[in-house]
Amino acid sequence: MNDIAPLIDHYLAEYARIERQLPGSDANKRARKAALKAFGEAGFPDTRQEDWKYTSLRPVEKRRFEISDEAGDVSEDALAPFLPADLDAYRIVIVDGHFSARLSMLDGLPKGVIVQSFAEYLESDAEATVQSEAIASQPGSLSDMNAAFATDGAYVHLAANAAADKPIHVITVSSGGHEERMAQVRHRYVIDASSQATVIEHYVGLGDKPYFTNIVTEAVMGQNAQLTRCRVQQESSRGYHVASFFAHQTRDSRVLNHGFDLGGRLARTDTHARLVDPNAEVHFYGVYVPTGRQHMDNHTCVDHDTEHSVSREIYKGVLADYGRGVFNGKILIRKDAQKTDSDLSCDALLLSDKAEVDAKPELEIYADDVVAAHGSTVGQLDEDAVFYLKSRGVEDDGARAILTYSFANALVQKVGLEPVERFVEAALMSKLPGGESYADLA
Amino acid sequence: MAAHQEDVETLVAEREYEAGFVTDLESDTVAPGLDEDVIRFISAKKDEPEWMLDWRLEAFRQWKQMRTPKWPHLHYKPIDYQAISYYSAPKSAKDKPKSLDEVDPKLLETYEKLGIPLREQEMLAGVEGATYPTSNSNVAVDAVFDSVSVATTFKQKLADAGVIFCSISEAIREHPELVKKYLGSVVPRGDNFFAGLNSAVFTDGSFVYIPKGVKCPMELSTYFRINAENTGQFERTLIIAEPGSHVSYLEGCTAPQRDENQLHAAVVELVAEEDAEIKYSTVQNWYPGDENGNGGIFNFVTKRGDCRGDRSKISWTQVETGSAITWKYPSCVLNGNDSVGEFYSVAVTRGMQQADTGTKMIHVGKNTKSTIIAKGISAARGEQSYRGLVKILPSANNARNFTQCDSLLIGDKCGAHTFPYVETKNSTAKLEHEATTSKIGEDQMFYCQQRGLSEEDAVNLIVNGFCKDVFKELPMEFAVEAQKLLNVTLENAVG
Repeated sequence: MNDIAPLIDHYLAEYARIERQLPGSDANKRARKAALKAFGEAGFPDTRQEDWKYTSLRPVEKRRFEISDEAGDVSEDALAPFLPADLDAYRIVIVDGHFSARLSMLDGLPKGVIVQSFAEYLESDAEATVQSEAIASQPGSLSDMNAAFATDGAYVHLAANAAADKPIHVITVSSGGHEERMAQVRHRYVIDASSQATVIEHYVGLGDKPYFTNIVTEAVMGQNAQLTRCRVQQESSRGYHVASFFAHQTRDSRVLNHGFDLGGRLARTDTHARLVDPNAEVHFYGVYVPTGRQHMDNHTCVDHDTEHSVSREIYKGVLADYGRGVFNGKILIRKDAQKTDSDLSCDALLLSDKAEVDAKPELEIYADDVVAAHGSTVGQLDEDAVFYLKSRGVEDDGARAILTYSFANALVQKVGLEPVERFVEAALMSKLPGGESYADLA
Repeated sequence: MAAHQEDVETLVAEREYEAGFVTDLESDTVAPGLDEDVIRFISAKKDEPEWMLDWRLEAFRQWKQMRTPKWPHLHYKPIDYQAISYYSAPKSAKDKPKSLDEVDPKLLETYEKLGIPLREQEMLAGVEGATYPTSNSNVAVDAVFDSVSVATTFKQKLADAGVIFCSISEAIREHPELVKKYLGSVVPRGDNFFAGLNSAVFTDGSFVYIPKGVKCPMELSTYFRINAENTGQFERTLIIAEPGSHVSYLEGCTAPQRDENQLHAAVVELVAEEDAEIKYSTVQNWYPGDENGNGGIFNFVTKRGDCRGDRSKISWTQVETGSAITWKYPSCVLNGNDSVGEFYSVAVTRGMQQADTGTKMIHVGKNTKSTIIAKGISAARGEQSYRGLVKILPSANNARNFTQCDSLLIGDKCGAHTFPYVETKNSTAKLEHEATTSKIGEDQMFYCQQRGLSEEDAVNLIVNGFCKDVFKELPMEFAVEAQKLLNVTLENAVG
């Protein structure tokens, strides 16, 4: 642990180096400094902390990551494999932590819908703050790190009663052109009363050099607003990906969150929703597929702050090779949250003896008139089902891939956006041995 | 339930501890504080051999390096370990009584005041009007009064079967080879903060040895009572079941009323060799403190069983209704192939009680199976957590686990929490976990009441049904008591 001080010194120096480039007012600079101080004091989380018990950030701590001064050179062609076929969407692309106007497609946005770069928003709006004021509490030293360093991201604002006519595809790319780069990206979705948006939050890694992305996404939900967020994580095999999502939900708002963790060497996702008014509803669905030596950690927390709110949560893990999966789902039902209706389930499918899964579905309940249930299972493919498919002429690998896919399929189908569903299907199948030939079968 | 909630507050406030009384008994107590001299004093007091003293001192050295665990979902003022007296022995126990007739009458009086479970046992044993179980009874009692075991009944009958059932201090003197071999082999000295403390200062406890192929002829039972003020009680229990043997052990607790918090840090170690089976049942009803959370027992217990041999089985059953704070995770390490671990628990918190309890099932051997059934009932301002770990190691092929933890909430100021850890490193493992949290259904209440049951009877009926899966695992003597205990508890908690 002796190297902690120089490690933090490195990031303090890095902050000093880029401070002048960071977007935002002087007030924001002060907020960034305060966040930097908090990060400096806490350092990177370590495995002695309960929330990080199963995920070590040592590989991140060992390196000295630097902020990229500008977007790397990414061609349309390089991005093409990550664009779902037939997806008609607005597109905003962040490359190495900087907005790329060249790759983005933001023409023709309807009235009341703003999609712009987060840096641009910070610069243009005197009231803008790096950290959303609606979401005061963003726990974790990495959220602080992001608040200090955040260079750019996507800013989506829907005015009251507006609807985005097309989904918004937010692509965060690591170009991988340089050694040891980090991207600190902050996305914010402000969905005002009775408006509706669908965002596909896509993470893409292109190079083969180690890099670190630290993401914070904030969703501020007005009354009766609806957000569908589909997160597709396809970082490259040397990418260390840490992402936090914070949703603040007022009356009658709905958040549908879908997560697909496919890439990265290490991916840690924290998904939080705070339901502050009655009749708010949140759905968290996630699929994680660690293969090779990938490590994927999903932490979720639904905070039922008041009465009559609803949460549904299903996570499914498919673990092959030396894959390591972690799931920690927490449902917090506070004292006043009577009539809460919550349900959480997490299932894992272990395909290899070397794979490991650690799950903890937590309930923390302080109100008595509630329905709270959780379930957790770990198992493997049914050999009878494998045999059945084999007897029908499917080879062993293929049979296993089909059955595995059917395990995850229920959650893919929930996205409700066919081009994205097909894209995720194909990406998922191609990760499974023997799956390629059945990519279009499912 | 609105009417209930009001009643809960008023009635809980009125509740008084059933077994709250102090037996005036002269104690031979050491001054508060803990250092190596105190440990030497305890060791000398108990005529322990040199190796035992060294073992304690090493534990003390390790303990000094440790810190109190912060992870439990419990809130209490830090404990000043130097303000506790670490040794207290009833004076009259100096000359070890040979039979119950020689036991301090005041001690017997204490038991009589408790009424249960001895009365229950008498009843079940068919002893009418008996004041104490005689040889007709089928339960052997090793009474632990404060820290020293003062009477062991049925020694002869057990000795005939080859069973050793005595206090651990006696075992250290009489059977050093067994104690040396097994003590600390399941719960090492440095296992955790409270186990470390216990290893350094444990004063007494029970020792059970069941030889190869022997089915223990009777249920073994022990009492724990905390008596002198400001004394911690540090029990150490060691049960060894040789290949093919079988034993059922009961532990029941109750304590006099106190204003100051009393610390209890026990360690229980179970060793089951090939084909052996150990059933360990606990009913814990220590003083829970008053309605404002003053006083009450702090109960920090480390219980662990090691299924060493193939096809061995360890089963924990617990009914926890007492203590201000309960920190307890009876665990099974399933080392042997085809070994089985079970955990059945009912925990009740009311008033300001807090409980963080659960189990750990560590699957090491092939085809190992574990079952966890945990029922939590939280009333008034009680806080309850289930914290469990199911760990499947790479060697544990075809391991199987089923976990169910249900919570019942009575009143809107209580809390029920669940922290189930599942760690799987083997792809042939099958694990299931289910948890639910709910209150007593209004329709269930309505149904019972319109059939003529009083509100209270209806609650008792529903709660007993809720706990049935666990109670049926208890030996008969305890099942009756546990059910009664629960009714008494709820009688005062729900109008």
